[in-house]
Amino acid sequence: MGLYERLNLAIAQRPLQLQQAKDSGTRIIGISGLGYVPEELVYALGAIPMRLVRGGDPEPLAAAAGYMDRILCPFSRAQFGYRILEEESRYQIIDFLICAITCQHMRRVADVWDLNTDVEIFRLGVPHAHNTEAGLRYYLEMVRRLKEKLEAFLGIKLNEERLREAVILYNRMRKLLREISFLRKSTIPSITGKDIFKLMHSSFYLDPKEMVEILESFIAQLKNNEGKEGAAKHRILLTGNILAMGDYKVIEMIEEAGGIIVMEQFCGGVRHYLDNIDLNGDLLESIARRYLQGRAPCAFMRPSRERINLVVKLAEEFKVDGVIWYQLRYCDTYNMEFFYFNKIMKEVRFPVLQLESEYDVEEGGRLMNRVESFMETLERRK
Amino acid sequence: MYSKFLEMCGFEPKEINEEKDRIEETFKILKIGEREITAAEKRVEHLYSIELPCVRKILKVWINELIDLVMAKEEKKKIIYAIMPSPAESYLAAMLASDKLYVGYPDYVFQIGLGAIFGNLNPLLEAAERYGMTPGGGHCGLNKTRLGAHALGIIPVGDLSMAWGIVCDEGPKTDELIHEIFGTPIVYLDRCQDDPLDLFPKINKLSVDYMVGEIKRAYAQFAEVAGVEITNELVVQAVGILFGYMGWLGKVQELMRGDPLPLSQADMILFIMVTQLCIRDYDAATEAVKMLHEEVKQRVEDKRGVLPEGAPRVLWGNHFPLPDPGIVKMVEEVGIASPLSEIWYLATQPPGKVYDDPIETIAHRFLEIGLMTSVTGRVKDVIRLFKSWNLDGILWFNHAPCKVIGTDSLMIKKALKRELKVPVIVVEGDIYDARFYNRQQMRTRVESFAEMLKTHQKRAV
Repeated sequence: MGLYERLNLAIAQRPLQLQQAKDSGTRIIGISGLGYVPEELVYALGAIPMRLVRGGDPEPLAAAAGYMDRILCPFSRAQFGYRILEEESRYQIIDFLICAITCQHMRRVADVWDLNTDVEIFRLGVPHAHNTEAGLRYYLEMVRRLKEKLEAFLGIKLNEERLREAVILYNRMRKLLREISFLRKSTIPSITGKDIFKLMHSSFYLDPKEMVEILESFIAQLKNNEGKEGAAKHRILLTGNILAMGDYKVIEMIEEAGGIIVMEQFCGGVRHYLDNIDLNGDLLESIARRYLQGRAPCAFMRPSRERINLVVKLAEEFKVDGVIWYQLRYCDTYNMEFFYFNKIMKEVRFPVLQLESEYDVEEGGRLMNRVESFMETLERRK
Repeated sequence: MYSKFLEMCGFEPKEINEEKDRIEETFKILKIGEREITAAEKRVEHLYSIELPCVRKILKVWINELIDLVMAKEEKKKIIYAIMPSPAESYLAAMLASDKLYVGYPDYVFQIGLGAIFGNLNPLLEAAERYGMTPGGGHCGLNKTRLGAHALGIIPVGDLSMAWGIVCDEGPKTDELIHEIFGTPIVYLDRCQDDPLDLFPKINKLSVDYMVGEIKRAYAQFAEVAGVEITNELVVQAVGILFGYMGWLGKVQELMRGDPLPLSQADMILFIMVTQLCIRDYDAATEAVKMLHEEVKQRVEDKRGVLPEGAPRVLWGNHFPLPDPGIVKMVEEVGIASPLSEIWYLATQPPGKVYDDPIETIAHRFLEIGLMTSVTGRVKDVIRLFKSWNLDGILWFNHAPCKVIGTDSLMIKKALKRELKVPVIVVEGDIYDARFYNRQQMRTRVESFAEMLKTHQKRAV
């Protein structure tokens, strides 16, 4: 079986696996708020962590319109829209939802689930002052409270050894993702940006042990394939706030227009797999440190310049020709940050294209025109 | 050119003469010429009860605030900028620390000074839109005002920006943008909004402790920049001044229970806003609010008001719009009395408990307001206010671009309709940017709502 066949089969089989697990008493714990909830905790307690990261479709937004104000970003509205549409099993199957209170948009996701479903909610406060000792202490305390809440909900005490095993497993998964992703440093990358996203999003969904096996088989084969896929014209770094599972239109447009995404910097992009949890010292503290401080901060955090510096570093390391900033409508902090992001990127001479989406089917043509024009600009620079 | 206008706003000719240079320099920087002055004369005459000495007095306080802000750098002051939402007493304490400091909320001063009084806020909002807060992007007009003022160079770059992130994300992000573009040093204050929905009115101890620590951290940075410390004694003094004023304002607010409604909220806004930021002349403001109290008391006794007796009464959800008091006037013209606004009523209450550490008292007072903690906390507050004020309905003037107070309107409307079973209207508006809505269109909706309220009143009888 080929690499992708195996991956696709695993994805196809997952809903049934989950249902069977649930039927046999295993609890499924939903996770909202992307990279700020330690999945390792859930896994170590014998439950199945399920990140809610679907997006890109207009239908869930229409469904959520009577519950959530339109000025919220489309990703946050979609997180409830999928639930009430009842077309997406992962939004139906969860028994408990951990909501990282990252930005105001995601805070409302917690509210709307809390008010309109019978799923138990835990709000995990994420300090925006990510680089302070007080911020770390707060987050660590919330992680401890989450642990206690889950222990009570699941009727099981957290075993230190199981937590360590979970951390090792997730560390391994992130390390493999990083290795695969970094193969794109090559002049002729052996994997496309779209496939990287697919792998990453699958890692939020599939059983981590199975995912590790899949990633190991990918890396073995991709290393052999290096340089065999043919060079795309333009090397692109794609960045922004959230690229949801299923929201692949921009990736496809870039690839259709002759680009290859050699790096992506989103909340669920490189920052997800760049750093790992330190196994030395108090493990819960190491987990808190990695989740809050080990990743370059999102735009809603303060200060957030470190993330822009990371983009510059990655753009240089991966020898990109241009940077595409993909933001979601009404995401106020990312929209504002673009103003000085663009200024900084100009100073280091990387051309930048800003795209915005509200998950509307009609925006495709407009976005494609802009991507094509950008590629022509890059062509002229060569 | 400007004497008649300033006299309308309570200035004595002698004061105008003494302040001539500062006034002219301020107007020059703000591009306020003859045309703007003439427009402002008409505006002030239409919007405010300038026949009342107390209203003229408070207008003068606001114009002086505008002058002090614009002239701060020229007068060699160290400048500390604050942002909302934050507890005003913490900045009043900073202001009291030294007269060589300018401590203030530039956006609020412009919202009232340039917006409400001169009707000339748009250039600031438009400038902000050229500096990263793109139109249609759902950005707050208050933050746009602050950024726009920097972009146009009408206020100096600060020596420190104390960026409160205890409620919204966009406020401190705006300061980060200002920091990146203009170089203002910055200290961030943080709080997590992770209270369970059923917690309020209980206060989250972890949240209080974190907020107290953040304020103290910011104060330490303030001391480094300003060269003076904000001591507990100063905080206590600030609280005394602010709550002294609030005490008088509270008495006026109680008189707004009178039927007919004794005073237009357009006038009240000028007095309420004094409590929301630190101003320089609390003596004048306190004198004005005492005079207002006397006037309103007399009106209640005489059964005089701005609307007919028996007009339907509503709770105004959120707070009254700042740069466009004409909206409040419009609602009153339609025949609806709104004796109080949710946010300002709650934000002008004294703390439920005083702690040994005055910073802890500040944090508690802040978190005693439901909307600072959760959507259900907010609903509980609204229901409590609604019942205790014997109202007929709720006019929820949604601050649509705000991700904090503008993104719960659907949840709140559902809860209020369910709990109270009274007419509730959500009007998609903007409390800091009048360009956002069409007043005539809004009027049509409010007129229909007024009819519904009257029907509800009759059925209740």
